Amino acid sequence: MHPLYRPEQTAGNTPPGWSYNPSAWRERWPLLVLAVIGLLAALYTALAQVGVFATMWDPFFGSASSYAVTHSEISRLLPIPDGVIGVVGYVCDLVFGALGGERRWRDHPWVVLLFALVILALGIVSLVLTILQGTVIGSWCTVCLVSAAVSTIILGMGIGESLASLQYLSRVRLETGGAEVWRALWGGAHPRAERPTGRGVGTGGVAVTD
Amino acid sequence: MWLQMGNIALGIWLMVAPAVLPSTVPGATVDRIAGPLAIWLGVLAFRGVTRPFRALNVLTGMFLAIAPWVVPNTGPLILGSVLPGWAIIVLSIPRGVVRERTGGGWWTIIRPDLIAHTPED
Repeated sequence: MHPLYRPEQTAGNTPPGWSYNPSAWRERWPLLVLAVIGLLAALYTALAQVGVFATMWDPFFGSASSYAVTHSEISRLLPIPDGVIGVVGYVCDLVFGALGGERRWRDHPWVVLLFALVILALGIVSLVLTILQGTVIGSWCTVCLVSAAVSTIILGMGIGESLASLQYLSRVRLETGGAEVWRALWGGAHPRAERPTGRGVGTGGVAVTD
Repeated sequence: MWLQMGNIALGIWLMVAPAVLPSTVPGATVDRIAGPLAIWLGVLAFRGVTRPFRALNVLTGMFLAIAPWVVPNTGPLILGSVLPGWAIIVLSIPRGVVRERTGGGWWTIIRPDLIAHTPED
């Protein structure tokens, strides 16, 4: 038996060859909690940007510093304030993070991959905005930094799930010559592709020494 | 995991350093680009499944090892940036402890025949 392939540990909802299930709720609920925190931070920023609040709470850098960031030219690069885009991003994050059960890496790969794209986009935008705060704007904003930290942690904790879906789609491609990948992406059944492929695996999930 | 914690701590230091050490605007700019990047990549590479992405922080470290010297800068900020840069390089090369198995890792997307047959990295 190959030392890295232990079929008894790939039973149930866990992807083949994985020691844990990245779609399990114990993996996903912390991401949803973080997304709620990010959503609140973005909502507060957006409301300050459209004038609902005159000043922003900022215990570290002061309200004036936060104001300089949230009313900078960079925050207005798009027709709507960037805080509003953050709200939309975190809502997508919550929706695609919550959809599907503990086998969604296989049953709904499109949800997992969309979730990965959303958290990747939020993470990259957060990184760029944080760099711009320190370099171009020259002011800091505590609530913005909290949102950026939350986005980055969600990305680091959550992006791994997409690997399970990508591996599944790769196995479907290998098994069917690519004909069924599109259907599998949207949740078509491929019982064979649930198992690892290749030389070391025999029928019934029993590994064969190679 | 602990190595990535080190990268995150160094990144936070780089964001703070221009405010606590005598600095120039270009010197501060170098740190305020590299700091968030070191933190971001440290968080990305925190879990076993994404640990291979730690290699990107070697580039952050190389940028920090060179850029503070070539812009108008102060002695303390050069030291306070270049030393963390070298430390980020050193912390980003070893893989560290990875207990999880993730079906052969990210290379298997290109080579699905290797799934569960390759050492995970």
